[in-house]
Amino acid sequence: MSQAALAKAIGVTRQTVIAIEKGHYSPSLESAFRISRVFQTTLEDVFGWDEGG
Amino acid sequence: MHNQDNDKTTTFREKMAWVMLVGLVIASVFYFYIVLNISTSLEHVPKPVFAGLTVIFIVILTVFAIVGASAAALSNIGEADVPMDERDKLISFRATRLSSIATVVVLTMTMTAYFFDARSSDMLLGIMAALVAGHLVEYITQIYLYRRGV
Repeated sequence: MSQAALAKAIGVTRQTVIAIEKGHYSPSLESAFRISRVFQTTLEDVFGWDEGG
Repeated sequence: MHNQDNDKTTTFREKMAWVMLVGLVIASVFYFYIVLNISTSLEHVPKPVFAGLTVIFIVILTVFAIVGASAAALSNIGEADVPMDERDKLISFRATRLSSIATVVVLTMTMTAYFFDARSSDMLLGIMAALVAGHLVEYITQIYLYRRGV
């Protein structure tokens, strides 16, 4: 899937998808769920979180 | 996910922030350089001079906005009329908040200076400086957040 297609599917700009990939932006919970549904998987399979930052 | 689009990571809004930042710096240097030169040689800067310089200031910014928006739209075809997404809104919110603080700080300094016997033309200059400072902070914050992350 291209960045543009994912962006369109979740309702953000392609640059926002790029920022999410690079770790420069944490998406809203709503967008995070949309991304996981696009890939038909769970939130934790798409996103990781390290408590130490 | 394919990364074939990664070469175009600069949004239309970030490009506009760059354009307006450059335009604002050029217009402000022009405006304040002339006004400060006149104010050091004359007792008061004549009102028609203030008005004329302000019109030129606005014209410079307008030209930059039109030419810059056209150039940015051509380099990001199809993005100019796309509404702000959640990241754009967050960046806009943070930039506006910092911009407001900068404006208030410069305005407070201006009012304090006026209280201690500044000239009325200095008050006008201070108000202009507050507006410029607010917008400078807004554009710089936008660029910083778009490039370094929110």
